[in-house]
Amino acid sequence: MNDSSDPRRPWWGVHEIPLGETRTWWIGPLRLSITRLAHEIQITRWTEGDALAPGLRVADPEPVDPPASAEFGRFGFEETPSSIHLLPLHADRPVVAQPEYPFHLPARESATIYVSTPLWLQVRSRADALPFYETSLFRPSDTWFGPSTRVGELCYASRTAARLNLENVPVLAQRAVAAVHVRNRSAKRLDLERLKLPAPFLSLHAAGDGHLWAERVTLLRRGNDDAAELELSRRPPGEAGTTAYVHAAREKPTRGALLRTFGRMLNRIDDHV
Amino acid sequence: MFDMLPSLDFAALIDTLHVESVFRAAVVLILGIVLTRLVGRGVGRMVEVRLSAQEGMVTRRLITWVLGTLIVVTALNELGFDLRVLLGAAGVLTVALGFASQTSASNLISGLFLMAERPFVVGDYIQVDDRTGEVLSIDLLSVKLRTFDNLLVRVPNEDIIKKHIVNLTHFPIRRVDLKLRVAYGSDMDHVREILARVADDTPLCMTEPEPLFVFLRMGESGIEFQYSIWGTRDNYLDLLNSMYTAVEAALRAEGIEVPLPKRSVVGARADEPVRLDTHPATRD
Repeated sequence: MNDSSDPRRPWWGVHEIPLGETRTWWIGPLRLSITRLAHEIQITRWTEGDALAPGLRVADPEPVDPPASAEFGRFGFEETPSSIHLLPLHADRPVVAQPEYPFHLPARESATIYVSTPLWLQVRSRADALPFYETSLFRPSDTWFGPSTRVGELCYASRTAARLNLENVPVLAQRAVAAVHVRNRSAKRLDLERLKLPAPFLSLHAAGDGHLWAERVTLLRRGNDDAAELELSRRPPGEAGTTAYVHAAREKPTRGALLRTFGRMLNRIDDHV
Repeated sequence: MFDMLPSLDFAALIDTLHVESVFRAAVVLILGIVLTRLVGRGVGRMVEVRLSAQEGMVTRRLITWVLGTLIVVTALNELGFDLRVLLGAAGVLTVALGFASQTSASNLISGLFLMAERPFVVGDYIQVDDRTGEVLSIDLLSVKLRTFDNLLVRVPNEDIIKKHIVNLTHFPIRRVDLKLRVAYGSDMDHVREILARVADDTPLCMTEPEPLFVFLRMGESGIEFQYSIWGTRDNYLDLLNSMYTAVEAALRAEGIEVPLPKRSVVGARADEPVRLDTHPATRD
């Protein structure tokens, strides 16, 4: 018998649900109940606690009583499949993290920064089927990344600071870790107030301890501006240990394209009352 | 009698020439129409990449009208009409029409300016006077809006040019200003902490640009301040409603009083006149 609360047991993958029964996943703050009926699958979703709440229970058969505020969805099938496929994936927008304290990278220097990013979840009826349900494990706050309130990009805020030491990054079931190697080839120092991680371009890999990693990301800054070239490795960095490929990226980056990845806090010039 | 025969040849000659003119005019007209259509389509394809659908349509119409006028003038010339007379008549007609259609002409020119200036595009939400709605079309004479209660409002272009227009959806994010009030004696640092926590717990509230706290005044009923947060333009209403509700609940939960407007009234006896104190006028 599987222990549904084993922290090493991955919450993704294939899970059997007998006809007429309900299974519940507790992934950090997310509660996801999936009920299988003859011709429909019912999904109930709610959250408890904050974005960094710990805890993991996989396909728990214990009955639960969702709160009134829970989201509820019904999905029709000719015959419902005996098992469902849960897949983790990165956020659908870039994720912005900022160092705990202002961080500067001198000219011709490089450093590795670890960023914890929020995850999303897809439910499929078969491995090769299109997803019929997708949700965030915890909806991150919106944030704006750009030089002004007129120009920029809508992103998610990371909730956790970008760190130079991996030990300081929270490793949780509802989040993935990305190692970003920043190489400053410019003759000017890089003032890193905010870092935009292009999450939709990243794939997911599972480490031996059951946690998820993105492949190693290299940001190469050649000029004196806030743009960098994005290079993606095939695998996560060595710190992740032995990993297994879990899910592809949402989008493919344009080869050689410059991404605006380093940003500063917006000044207060727009904040007239 | 036979002396008249040469005049018969002359008439036949005139007739021949007239037929030839008609033929030439017809050829000009047919070729002109084909050419106008071809040019219209070609220009349409070129401009649809760079301009909006509305501007593309106006450009195509302008080209059709200009080329059409040129072709008709050329055809009339071939038929032997004296264009100086026509132009003279057209001048008089233009003056008469101009007086009669000042408003339309003004709207037309305003429409062209609007298309060049582009303060809004189809699909934007704008505010004109007390009307707010989605822009359905920007035509040569008017702009058509769909209001939130699903009414069609036609605003003449001349009015749009003259008046202040607020485009609510031009920029991707916008600020939501919450006007709040707490009772005198409240711990304002604690109030600010509560507001920051509520903003942090609301995913639609952006972390950057950061929320802004502005003290407004010591009001009649309490300390008045503004808490400004940012969200995407699509989430404006959701953010406004959810934040007011959440802030009010959080303040009450923390024991911070949100006061109602208060005014102290001191009563006087009914049988006595209301006493007024007079003060001497201040002299410079």
